[in-house]
Amino acid sequence: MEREIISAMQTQAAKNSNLAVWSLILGITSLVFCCLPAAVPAIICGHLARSKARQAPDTCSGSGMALAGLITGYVSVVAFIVACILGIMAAIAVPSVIKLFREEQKSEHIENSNANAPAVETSQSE
Amino acid sequence: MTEGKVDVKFSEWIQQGWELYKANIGVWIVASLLAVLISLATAAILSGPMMAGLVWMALALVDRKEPKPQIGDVFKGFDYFLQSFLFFLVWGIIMLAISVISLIPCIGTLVVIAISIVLHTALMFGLFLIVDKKMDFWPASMLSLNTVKPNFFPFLGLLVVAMLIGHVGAIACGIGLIVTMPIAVCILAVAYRNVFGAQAAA
Repeated sequence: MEREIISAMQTQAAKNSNLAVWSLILGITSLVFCCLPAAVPAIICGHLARSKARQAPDTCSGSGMALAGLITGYVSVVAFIVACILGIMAAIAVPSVIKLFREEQKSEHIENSNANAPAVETSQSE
Repeated sequence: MTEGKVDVKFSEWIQQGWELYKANIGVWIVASLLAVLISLATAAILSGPMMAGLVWMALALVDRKEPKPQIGDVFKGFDYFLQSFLFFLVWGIIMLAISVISLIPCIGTLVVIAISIVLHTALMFGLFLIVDKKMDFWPASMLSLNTVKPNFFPFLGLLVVAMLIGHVGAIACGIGLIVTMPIAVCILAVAYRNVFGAQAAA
């Protein structure tokens, strides 16, 4: 009986610790690959592991790992959102910048052709 | 708490640190490879706990804990995650703010280098105190500062030598850093244990 209790406790501790480890692994993966599908489970696993560690501090370990997973998960979510905003801004800004650049080139071309026109005319008259 | 004059045994501590490293070279190389890779992969977010893991391993070796630290023990730093993270974050931000001085022409860069060396020396035992005495990052920083202050130049010399040895590997495209960095950690661990005494061992 005693043996069973100890093994159950060990399994429980391992289970919670696994959650923390998974949170950390997923958090690092999400940060490296800027991957939202890894960040969300990292955050979930981190919160679960931390709440379990808070409920049973004697049997559960890995609170620090879970916190690390949470932070890396949240950082990658923020990075993803920032990247999305920058992407949208770039998508809006780039065509208008190109358009402006082309217009400037066009006007420069016209100015150049106007400046060269009298010279061409004099050479033709000669 | 050690805040008075300390006898800095330069060569003895370096030799002891080297012996600790030499006896466990395989474990150290793999552990520091893990620490560097994870720190780089997470844009230095996890460099605090990974360094805390290396510090834990070094202190365990100094205290001759049994069983000897294994490669996986580098993750023990996560037990001190919050404080080690804050230690790196806060002092990193302070250093970043100070580096604005480098915009001053001529002397700016020199001033920043001088401040950075002073700060590194003052905080050399900060992470060790967080790991060993489970202190919060700010009291640990202040205790490290107060300990180093009366013996600033001997400790500065020790840190410079440890860092030179530890960063020799950086010459080989930075890859050698993985091999040499733990030597600096071992030397500082020996120094820490001699300065703060074994009674503080967790």
